[in-house]
Amino acid sequence: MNIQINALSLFLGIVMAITVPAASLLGQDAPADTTGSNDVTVPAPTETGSEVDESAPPVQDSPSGDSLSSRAPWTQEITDAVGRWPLQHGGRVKPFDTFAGFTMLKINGRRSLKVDGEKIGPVAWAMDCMLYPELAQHYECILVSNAEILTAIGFDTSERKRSARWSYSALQPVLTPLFTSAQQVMEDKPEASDWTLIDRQTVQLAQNIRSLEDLFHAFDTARFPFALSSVEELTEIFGESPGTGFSSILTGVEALEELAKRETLLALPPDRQSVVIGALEQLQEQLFRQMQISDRGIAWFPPEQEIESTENLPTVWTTASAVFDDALAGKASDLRVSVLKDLESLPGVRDERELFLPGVVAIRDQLLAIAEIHGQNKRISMEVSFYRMDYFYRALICFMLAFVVASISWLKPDSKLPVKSTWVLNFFGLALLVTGVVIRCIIQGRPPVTTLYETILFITACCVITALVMEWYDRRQIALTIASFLGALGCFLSMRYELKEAVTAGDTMPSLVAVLDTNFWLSTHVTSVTLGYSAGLLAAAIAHIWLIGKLLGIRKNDPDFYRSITRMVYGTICFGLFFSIVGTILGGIWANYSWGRFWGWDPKENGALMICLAELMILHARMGGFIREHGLHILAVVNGMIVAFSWWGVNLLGVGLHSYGFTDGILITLLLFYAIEGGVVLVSLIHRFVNLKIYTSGGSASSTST
Amino acid sequence: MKWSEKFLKTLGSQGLAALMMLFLLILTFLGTLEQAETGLYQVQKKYFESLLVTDVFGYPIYLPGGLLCMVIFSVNLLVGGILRLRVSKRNLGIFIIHVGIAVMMAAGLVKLVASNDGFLTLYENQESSEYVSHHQWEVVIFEIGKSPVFEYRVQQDRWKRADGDVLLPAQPGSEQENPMGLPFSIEISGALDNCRPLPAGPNWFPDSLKIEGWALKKLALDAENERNIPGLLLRMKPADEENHPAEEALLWGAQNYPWTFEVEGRSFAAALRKIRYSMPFSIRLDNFEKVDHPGIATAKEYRSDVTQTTGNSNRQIRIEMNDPLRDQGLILFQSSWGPSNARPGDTLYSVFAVVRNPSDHWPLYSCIVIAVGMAIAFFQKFLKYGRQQASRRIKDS
Repeated sequence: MNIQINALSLFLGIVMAITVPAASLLGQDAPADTTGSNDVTVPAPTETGSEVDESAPPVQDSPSGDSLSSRAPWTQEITDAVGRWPLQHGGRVKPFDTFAGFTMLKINGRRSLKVDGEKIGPVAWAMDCMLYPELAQHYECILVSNAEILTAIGFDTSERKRSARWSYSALQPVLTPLFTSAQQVMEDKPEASDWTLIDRQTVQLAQNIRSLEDLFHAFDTARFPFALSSVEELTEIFGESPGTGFSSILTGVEALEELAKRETLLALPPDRQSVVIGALEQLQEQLFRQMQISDRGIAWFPPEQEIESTENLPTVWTTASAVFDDALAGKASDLRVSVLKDLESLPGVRDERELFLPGVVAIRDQLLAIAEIHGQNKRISMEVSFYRMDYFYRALICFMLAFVVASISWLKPDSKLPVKSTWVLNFFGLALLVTGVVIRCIIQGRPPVTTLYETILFITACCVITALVMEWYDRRQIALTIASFLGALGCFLSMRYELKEAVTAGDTMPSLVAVLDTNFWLSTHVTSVTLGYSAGLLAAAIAHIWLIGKLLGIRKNDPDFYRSITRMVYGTICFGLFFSIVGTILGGIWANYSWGRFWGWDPKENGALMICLAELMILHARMGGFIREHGLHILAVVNGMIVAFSWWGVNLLGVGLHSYGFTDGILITLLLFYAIEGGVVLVSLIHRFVNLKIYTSGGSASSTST
Repeated sequence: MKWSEKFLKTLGSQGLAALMMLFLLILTFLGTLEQAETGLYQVQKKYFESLLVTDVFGYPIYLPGGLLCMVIFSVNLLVGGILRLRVSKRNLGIFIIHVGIAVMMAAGLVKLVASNDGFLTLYENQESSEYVSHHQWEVVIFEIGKSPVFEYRVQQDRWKRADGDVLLPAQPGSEQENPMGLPFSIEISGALDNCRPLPAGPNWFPDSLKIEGWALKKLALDAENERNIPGLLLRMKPADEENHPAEEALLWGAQNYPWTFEVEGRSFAAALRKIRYSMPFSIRLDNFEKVDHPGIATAKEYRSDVTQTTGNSNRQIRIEMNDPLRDQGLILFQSSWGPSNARPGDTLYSVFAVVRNPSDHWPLYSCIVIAVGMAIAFFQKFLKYGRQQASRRIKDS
């Protein structure tokens, strides 16, 4: 906003310095100010969700006024080049590819869309929204997951499913009531924790539509023809066809400044003076409005000069309005003005692919060159290829295949090929998973775990690695099968949860709050605790095999098989206990060094403590002879449930310092997990006591495995 | 086996350890769930700092309290895990772990007994040598117009312990605390943890004492302890009670002005406020900076440049997130800032958490000891497992 005030005051300085005195000198009333600065309507901010404005301007039709029904497909070269445009969003520099991907995921619920038989990806979709808004407003890309949101504001949704995708144009009649309704929710309940599910979905939908509108309006200023040829004095400066956008003004800004000087105006013939002043005021009004619109656009422009500061201040990228502002103020802006010109020329050549491509390539190269001044260009390509490689989806495929092959190996125990194949597939899956996690670390310059989403990836990788190490020693395909199962499950869950983080944070690499901004504690405490989670879950997973095997009477005559599982479970719990205890204490030390309290009984801290206590209890009960094999495995499953409570459950309580994840919809998954695990525990307990009774009555208790 | 030996064996047994862990596990679980309803402060008192829990979510369920469990657990650890453990090569790791956990429990005990904490809020150019407790209240009495001001204080735990009416001697402190002597004693009664003063009227007939038509209305405890405002009845009894009758007043934690009264021609003031602790130095906030991540309203960092004045010496220090000021047994942390609804350009204040904790670094030492112990213990087990599996595979093949 400051930028805008600077620019306006500068330009107003030019215009007002001349208009008011000139008008008074001329003995006339100054023309009424029609700028209506307070009435200018711009799309509402959606970044923080704090405001929802009802008065966004309508989506503009094409500059020529033609109504298009289709456009030529974007070539791969074009989407590749545009995908690598750097920009700053959500507090960090990222490629357009990532921005478009998460915006699309947030609004559309997935990263692809079918339009007239053509499957378009995020970059093509975002380009359509920006450059062909008149077409894109008919794309059915707004996912309304619950029709109740629309029926509550009087929209007939009977012809569609409960969860359906709508186009912007179809929803246009209800946009005003929707925004009013969202605004009402935010005013009535300032604490988001008080919102009902429908409240949350209403606000979310309103914000998603605002994000879409931001895209629709991203090139509005570039398309806007300023009144630069309305009078002959201006035509002399800007020519008959001055073009569009801020860059059209910048071509003659010095001459315009000269014209706007008081002396120049006074030197004009009296009949021209009021005409020229009127034209300048019209220009000022247009400029005011376009700067406000542009202010809400995408921050494409890095500063041109290196920022020297001892305070480690962030490098703030700006929108087109700030570039124009700097150019007017005479600040160094040549590089950015050049990009601005290229950007603003794009709508004019949008249908000419052969002209469009060099344009977008030049923009990419120029933006990356400016970003290089601040060292912010390095990871753009890496991030683009990271998302294009889709490591975690590929890992999921590998693990799923591994699981299928592992299942075959159980059916054909004598054949070595399935076992070897399972190893290979697990390794491929693990390699993809680890590579993905490592690339994320490099892109963010952070340790592997900073968000709830990343905990899933990290825990999955740790589970698979630990299981494979165990298999290396054990060689009974138990841990191998578990590795593939947990690998597939983890990758699947990570993909499901990515959508949740897209909706809330708009990115899975969000900027961290101040207290988390420390790589030392993130790499020690967080990784230790999550390693502890991994081991707890792995132990629980292996314990299932023992319990279910016993229950179904599998390999009855192979006590070694069961003893081997017990050893694995016991060992994994020891391994987990090490990291849980060290991680939990490190967390306390971090809290002590950050806030001055070692322990605050915060739910997440309590969750970690519960894991430590449960695992310590298991070990002591086992060493003290209070539980044997059956008890160990049942308690290992209970420990898995405690891990799930600590990992996800406490976030659902909505209290405490660590409730950092968005957990709508998680509850059902968690309850399902508890129902299954509770069932396993209950059935195992019954089985154990029935067995005990049989053995006791049969007088051979010593042979039980309890 | 003698009964004393039996007792010691039970006291140090793994069974007792497992049982205490089970109880602590249950208490932690319940305390976590109940936080959402009754708030952290109340839960902490009820589950973790108690000897006995008498209700769970309102149901009459009895459980040993967190404090009791931790005491038994600590004794069990000392007896069974350290004193009675015969240290050998096999269980060296276990022994070290137990020592580490004992250090941590000791750190907790020292913190419980010898620490206090509070906060200090400063706008730029403000200076203070006191910090304010988060939760604890005190009645303070001082003579008006005297300089320097000597405050006579009665802290919350004193009137809480007495549980009801209590006569407090007015002059028990050292000469330094109360050099001029108070010509009266005070009595505190009817203390309420959360209340509002209301005029007694046709719609409300208070059970508690009315003073000039007003009484304190008891309210349910709020989950956010900061919103609980206590109140009490203060009775001032002059030493010369024959010539000067006793006076009474209601004191409420959020009242703007203290109660003033005169005794023997001297004016006094009494107020109920959060406990204030003095620091051996003063802190002046020179500059507070909050830096947001570009384009979003998430704070990237916030930091305070302060001047610390001890006696005649000054020093400039920066306090920021994860980088506190430690001096003379006190630690000042950059805790938060406000007001939370500030708009860009508004003057902000900086909030420091101030802690006095003699066992500040002990958890780190215990963590290192425990990690070493666990590494030894589990590595031994892992090697043994590896050897077992290798010999099994050889046997199988």
